[in-house]
Amino acid sequence: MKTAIKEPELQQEYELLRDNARGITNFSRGLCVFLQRGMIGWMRFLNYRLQEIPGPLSAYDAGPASMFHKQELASGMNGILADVLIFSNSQQ
Amino acid sequence: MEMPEKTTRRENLRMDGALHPDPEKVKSGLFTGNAFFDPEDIAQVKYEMLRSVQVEKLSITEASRKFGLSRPSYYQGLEQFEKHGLMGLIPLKSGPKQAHKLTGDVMSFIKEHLDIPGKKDWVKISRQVYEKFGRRVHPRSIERSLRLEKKTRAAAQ
Repeated sequence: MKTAIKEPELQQEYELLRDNARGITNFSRGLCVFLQRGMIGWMRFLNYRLQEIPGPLSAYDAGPASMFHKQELASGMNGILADVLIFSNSQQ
Repeated sequence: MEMPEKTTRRENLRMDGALHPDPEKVKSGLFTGNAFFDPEDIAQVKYEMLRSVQVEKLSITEASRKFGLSRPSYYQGLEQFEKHGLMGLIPLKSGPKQAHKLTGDVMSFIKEHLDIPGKKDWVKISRQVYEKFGRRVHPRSIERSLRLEKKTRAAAQ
């Protein structure tokens, strides 16, 4: 898998997610992808994000899952986002 | 935190080749009661195993036992992680990555011979491959390989 995100940023992103995942009650976009697709699916999502939609990762992925970017929704991204939206809606 | 539908996540992991072969062997408390930590996600289990040694100062024996992996898996994981970071923990696809007999030069040679009009004599082509490259390739393998290549090309267009 080709990657655009470099270490140690990727590891830092995981650690952030890991900290936030403990006892969390609201589902961020990054967390929803992780829960639905596992670590590899999440890394793929981050790479997609970096390549397609500019802006800092953490600020974006901390946003609520219901606020996925139109561009992401339009692309379908191999079904990842469709799965994640169904999952996030089921949590609300 | 509520669990996502387990079968969907498991299916996604399986498709990515990232399903832990023995998730029931993962005994770490992290992987019980929090959906974020999934014992079936081999990349996450490996990372947490490495982390438990680095951060929580567990011994390698203890860490490998708690995360249901062997000591050699720990060392392999560490080596890959040091070289490639988190991406290094993604399991590589097993099996050969390319044909070991029908390599690029052999295939080019075969295609040159296929340009000759008339019925394809796969046995003869196989013999010619042996004479030129010293590789014994079954005539059916040559035919199958060409068919596969044609199919792949058509799918790409």
